[in-house]
Amino acid sequence: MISYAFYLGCVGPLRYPDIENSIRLTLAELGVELLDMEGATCCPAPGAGFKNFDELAALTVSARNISIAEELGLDVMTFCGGCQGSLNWANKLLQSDPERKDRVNELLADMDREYKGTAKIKHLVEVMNEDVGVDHIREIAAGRLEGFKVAVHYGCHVLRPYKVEELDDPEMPRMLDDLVEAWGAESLEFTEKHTCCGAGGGLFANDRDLSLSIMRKKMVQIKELGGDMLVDICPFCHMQFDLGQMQLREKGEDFSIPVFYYNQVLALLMGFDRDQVAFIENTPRDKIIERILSTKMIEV
Amino acid sequence: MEVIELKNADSDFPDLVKKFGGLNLSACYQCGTCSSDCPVSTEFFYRVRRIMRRTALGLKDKVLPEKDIWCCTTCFTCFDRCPQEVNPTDVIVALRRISAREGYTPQASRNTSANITKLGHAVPSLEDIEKKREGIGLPARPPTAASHPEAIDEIQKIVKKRGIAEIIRFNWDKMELEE
Ligand code: SF4
Ligand code: SF4
Repeated sequence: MISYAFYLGCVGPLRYPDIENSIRLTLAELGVELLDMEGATCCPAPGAGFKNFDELAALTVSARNISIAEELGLDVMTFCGGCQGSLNWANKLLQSDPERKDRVNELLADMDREYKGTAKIKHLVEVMNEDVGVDHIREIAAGRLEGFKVAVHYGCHVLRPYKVEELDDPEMPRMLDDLVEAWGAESLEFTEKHTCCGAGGGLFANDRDLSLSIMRKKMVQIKELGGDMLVDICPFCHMQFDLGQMQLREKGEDFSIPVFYYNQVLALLMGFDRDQVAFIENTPRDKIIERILSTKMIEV
Repeated sequence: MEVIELKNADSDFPDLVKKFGGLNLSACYQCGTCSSDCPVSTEFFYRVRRIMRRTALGLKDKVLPEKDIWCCTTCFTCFDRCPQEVNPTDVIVALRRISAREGYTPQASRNTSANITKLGHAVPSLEDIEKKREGIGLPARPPTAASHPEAIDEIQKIVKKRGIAEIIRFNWDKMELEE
């Protein structure tokens, strides 16, 4: 069994615990053990937190988080684009820059901690592809979502900057598409497919209208293509799509595109109860969940 | 057309921006790739290329007080596509650091860092969500700073040593932002 230190971040556990639970339940059954990182904090947000004010403070908070995983002797698994971006940026910068690392460790010494630089930072999409495997997902889904049209959303910081993430081609990534197609579903192609959700950098709160107008462009295209659902791998992008569609509805524009984190749909396909893994939503998902649950295995 | 008076420029400004993290600013040759690929630029008159130019010319009064630098979503598209490796996102973040020291930070961005200082998290734990967590067999609060007050003390040590409270005007006695 492979094990990771499970880095939770903020929006996942504090706003969408059903996402957190869907990850815990599915990965346990898929042979990935997740150990809690006691006392972890905010990552601290790649474009909205301390990084806007002081680089060393941001690096030190990230290094403190990573040091908790180092004590467990494990690599880190994140499930949020922002967390992945912050922690991986800090980790790689500190691994390659002994002077910065010393300055960070001076600050950490004050709390009896040390950052060593021995852990890797992986996003869940990498773990799903490399440790679990697309074939395994294909066996589980057994073609049940054939005919479903899915719009995937990676989230910027999972892939960019490429220099830091080095995970998949940020212009034409496949990792999430492959995982969705393994359900038997079709992953839609559209011009706004890889555009930012509009929430990052503090824009979610700094200018809600501007932030929503970026998100809206994606919704227009998904609707036009007859998309059945949007599947993301970041709780913050998820909040932008889920809550954001409600806010657009209040302004008179209704897209009603159901939004799921990848593991929520996977959990439903694996037989977990909806009330355990997909029950917090501002944009209704009842109909599509019913449809998912009524599908039959068509190939093994 | 707008006439730019370079006599109003601050020739030390580009070096200050480099010091705060915008290291490759001078490599920009104004191709406009960044502006044309930016998700924000299609939605309102926000031009990354123009921010790079104004910054390189030292026109700090046309950059620091502007809302523009706080509208970047840090999507890093321009960072990956700039042919000159200017890393425009880094320049924008450096400009935010300088602009914050002059008191221009939007309230919402100060709030996020105030939350991290108070709670160790960017958002507070909510009673309603805590009940939902318990309902699915998770602890009411996650095993993070939300249930480890000593972790918050550690974050506050970092905040104090690095002077973040002064930059965002966070009052330690009241444990909230000033104004
Ligand atoms: S893409 Fe790079 S070189 Fe071109 S205008 Fe933008 S910052 Fe300058
Ligand atoms: S990182 Fe900021 S400036 Fe660059 S393309 Fe994205 S939103 Fe625009």
